[in-house]
Amino acid sequence: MTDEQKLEEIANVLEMEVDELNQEMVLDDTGTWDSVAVLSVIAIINEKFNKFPDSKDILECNTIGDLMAIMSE
Amino acid sequence: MLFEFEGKIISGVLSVLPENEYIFEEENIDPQDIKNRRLKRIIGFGKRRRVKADTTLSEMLLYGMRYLMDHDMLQKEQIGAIVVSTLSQDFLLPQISMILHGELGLSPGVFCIDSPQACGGFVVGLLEAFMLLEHMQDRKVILCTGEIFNRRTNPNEPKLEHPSFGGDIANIAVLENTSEHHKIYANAYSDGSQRNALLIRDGGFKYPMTEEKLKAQINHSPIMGVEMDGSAVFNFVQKEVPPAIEELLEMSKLQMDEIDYFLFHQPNKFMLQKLAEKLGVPYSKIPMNITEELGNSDSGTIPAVMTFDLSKQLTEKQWKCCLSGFGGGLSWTSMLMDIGPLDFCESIDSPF
Repeated sequence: MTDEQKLEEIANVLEMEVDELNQEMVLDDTGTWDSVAVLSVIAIINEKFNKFPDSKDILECNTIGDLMAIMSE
Repeated sequence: MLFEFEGKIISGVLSVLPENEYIFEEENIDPQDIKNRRLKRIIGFGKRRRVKADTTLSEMLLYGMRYLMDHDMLQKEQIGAIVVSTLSQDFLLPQISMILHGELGLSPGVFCIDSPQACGGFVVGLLEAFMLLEHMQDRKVILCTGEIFNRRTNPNEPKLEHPSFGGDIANIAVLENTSEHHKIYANAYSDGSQRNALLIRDGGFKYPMTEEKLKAQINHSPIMGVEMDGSAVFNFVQKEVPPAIEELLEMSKLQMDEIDYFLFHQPNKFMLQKLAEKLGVPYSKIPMNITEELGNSDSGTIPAVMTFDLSKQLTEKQWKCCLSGFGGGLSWTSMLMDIGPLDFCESIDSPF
């Protein structure tokens, strides 16, 4: 997945526009970083990389950049 | 474990619904909060049915059994066994099957068994029922499922801080032998190492229920007493259910697109959409609205799909159906079988 694709997926999850996001943005400041978002990220990693991450791994992410890093092989 | 059966059918399904419906917007303290709106839209919260205070599952099942008998849909003498698959027991003893046996005045030759199953309850119950049918000749097995975790114990219940998608229901399925030779394929799997991913801690011998705990559960828990590791359960379903279904297709030499309907347990819309995508099956073949329309009732959801979503289809003709119950245990049990035309497939409102 390219960074652009990752940002697009994250924007969908957070119900925001891609150009509203940047890698330094803190997830808790978005207002939509909730249990639904965590489950949605797990589903994306599931689908794209056939991996089954624990929610703890996702919840350790602080910024959009952290989330992008975890969305990989 | 793998199973094959032949000459066995579901001949009818009845759902008994609680009278009162509770709507997400009215039940919750802040339905407009963005998190709650997302839960409603993405996960699929909507309406749910909840039984009144003091209702027991045996009362609802008796109501349904009497309805079937009063409408000549079932005769007492036809019953060879009662299988009850639920966590919502009236008592530790006697079991619900024995309560039904006594209240209906069944003969001593009727076999009664209860099995404490959760989300897989209906499919596990079918396995038990089909095994019993090997010894039943022309008598029928009655499979009872359903849960009443969402009793409205306090009529002045405060609005909910945490939205709930739990629902109550009681179902009766009638199963019998037939001269037709359609094969039924099933598999059942267990993973006890993940058993705490779905946990009802209190009420057994290890942690007996106290009044204080019960009060806390009623006021604070989304579904009374159920603790769930949501991401573990989500991952488990996405990882384990598709290969189990592929295995049944291999056994039956059928292709995925030859299956007409996938009757799955109904944890929530999101999980079922992702499962459909993983299987490569169009959403239209997997009903996924039961949590939104009636609430998630664990062992009760698959019959609810049949009576709520497919009543017309299943009474009209025969369909190739794939059933899968997955959750508590953790366990996942799937079955491939022809269903229909059923003698009856309906739901009735009850006074409960």
